[in-house]
Amino acid sequence: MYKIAVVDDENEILSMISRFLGRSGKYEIVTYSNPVVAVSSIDNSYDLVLMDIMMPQMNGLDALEKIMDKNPNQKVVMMTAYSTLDKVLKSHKTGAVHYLMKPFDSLQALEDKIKEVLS
Amino acid sequence: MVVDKRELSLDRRQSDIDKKNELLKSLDLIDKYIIRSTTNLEGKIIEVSQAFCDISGYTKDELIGQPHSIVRHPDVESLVFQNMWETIQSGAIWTGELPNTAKDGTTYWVDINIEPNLDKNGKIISYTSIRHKISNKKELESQLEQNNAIIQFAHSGIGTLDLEGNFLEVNDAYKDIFGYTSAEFIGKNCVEMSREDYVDITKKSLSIAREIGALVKMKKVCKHKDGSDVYVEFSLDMLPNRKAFVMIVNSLNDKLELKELTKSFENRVIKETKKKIEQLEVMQQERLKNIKLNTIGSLAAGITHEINTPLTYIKGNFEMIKYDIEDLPPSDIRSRMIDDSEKIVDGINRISSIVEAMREVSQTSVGIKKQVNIYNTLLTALTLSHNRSKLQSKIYINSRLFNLEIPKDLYVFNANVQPERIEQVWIVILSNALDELVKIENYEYRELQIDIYQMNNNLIIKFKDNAGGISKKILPKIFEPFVSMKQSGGIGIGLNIAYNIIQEHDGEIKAYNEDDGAVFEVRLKVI
Repeated sequence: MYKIAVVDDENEILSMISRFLGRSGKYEIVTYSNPVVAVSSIDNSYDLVLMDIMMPQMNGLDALEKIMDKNPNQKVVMMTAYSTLDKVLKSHKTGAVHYLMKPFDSLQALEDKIKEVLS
Repeated sequence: MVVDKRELSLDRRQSDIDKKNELLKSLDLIDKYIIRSTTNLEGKIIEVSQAFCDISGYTKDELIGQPHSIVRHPDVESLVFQNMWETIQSGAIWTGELPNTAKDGTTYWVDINIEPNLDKNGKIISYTSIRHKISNKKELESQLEQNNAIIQFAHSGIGTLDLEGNFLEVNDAYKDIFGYTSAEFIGKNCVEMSREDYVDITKKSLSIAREIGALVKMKKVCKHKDGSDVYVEFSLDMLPNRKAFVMIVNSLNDKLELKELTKSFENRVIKETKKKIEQLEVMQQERLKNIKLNTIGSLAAGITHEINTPLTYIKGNFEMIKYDIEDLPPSDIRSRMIDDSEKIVDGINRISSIVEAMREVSQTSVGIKKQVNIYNTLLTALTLSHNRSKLQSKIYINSRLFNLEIPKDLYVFNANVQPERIEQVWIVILSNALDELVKIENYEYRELQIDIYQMNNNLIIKFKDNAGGISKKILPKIFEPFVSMKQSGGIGIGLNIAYNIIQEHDGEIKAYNEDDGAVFEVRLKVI
């Protein structure tokens, strides 16, 4: 059973992802709609963090940096609804293992990517 | 016959008295009107007339016993007096014109005669001087001298002519204006100095001046000694003796030159200002355009994010619905739902591709050149214009009717460019073509063909419409700023910006007419 944190200010997206990934029973999903809370709560018990970038309380890239400071081995996948080259580069430099663009090609593709990252 | 001696002597006495009275009267007149003084041998005044007192301002008492130098003027050199003394001491008469000083310090000029008085033995006993006041004459002379100086120094040419127009005298300025010397002027007629076409006018001027006495501020063209034209303004006035004219001439050449200079300077200033304003306006427009693009960019970024977020869960949730539908046992409803859901997925994908194209253009990594597929940039521009273009004209790209599903890498023509700027060029050309194409009434006949192909080291991108072509008047300057083909709206800067962008890429852009339409052809270097 993998423990996955999903951080996104959109509750619709949080519930969609947790419902889809929860179907198989292979994942324990914890969702955070506030990145500030997420940064202080996420400890090294998580196998993976899915992190949105544009959020009102805190930029996902800053949150990524704080998480990596706390646990340099943390696997983090970034996702964004507005992608730029800068964001991609910054994500990889800061230590994210992958970068996904919203809307996802499909939820199935998202799950495949997660499997790939976790293996 | 007895003669009354007494009567006789009475008559005689009476006549003597009469004579004496007459003499006294004339002495009195002499005293009153003749400026006379007598000095002793040392020059001390021993006798003066009333006239002397009147002119000098001293009383007789004040003068008698004083040296004659009491009226001496400080300007007169001592040499003059030395000469005077030598002359009169030798027994001769001395004459001269000298200034004297009156008691109140004023100067008066006198014509002086000094004569020695001799005794029976011919010995000099005293000197008598008779003076005539000549101040007025002197003043006139000095006035004349001043007037002559004024005439000589005047910046206007001043000359006197006889009534026939022959020169009598000219001042320096007159000589300068026409280049002749005094000698060359004298006897020359003013008619000779006029340019041929002004000879008649000059003759007429003279005859009018003779008749009415004056002509004021006439303009004419004369000849300089070196043959050049001299533009002058002249006045001709008859002198009071009615025997001569005074001609006053001012050269207008300086004024004309100055006027021309001022005018050409003004013109230059106006021209430069106009040019500067135009340049500023172009810059301003470009800046505005950039600001606009930046605004559109950030707006697009915001919109992209805002659309993509709900799109993400619409798409995701619909995907889950689809799985649920697929899990249903086979039925008509199930298959209908599967059919419908495919259409929904199509729509969602289409929205995604538009938003994605918008994102690509909005990205502001302007300035960085990179290897990009130019075909892809064309598709991006077409996708962005699709909302408008789909209602306005059919567009073919490499002979394929454009739609949003064309794969982005159907063709690969790479070049090193700033993709956002190049996309901007395509959008400008596209929107220009669409503006022309909508003038064709029937949509079915509107056609825009875009072709991209490689030729040697050049990528050639051709946009060809069938909207009748560009007017011959506009064609040569179509890439200049402010040239608008549009009847209304449009500032006509778009193609200029497109031109500049292509120039920055060391490329070429040209416009020409072919068949029944306009062609915009862009060449980009392939490295």
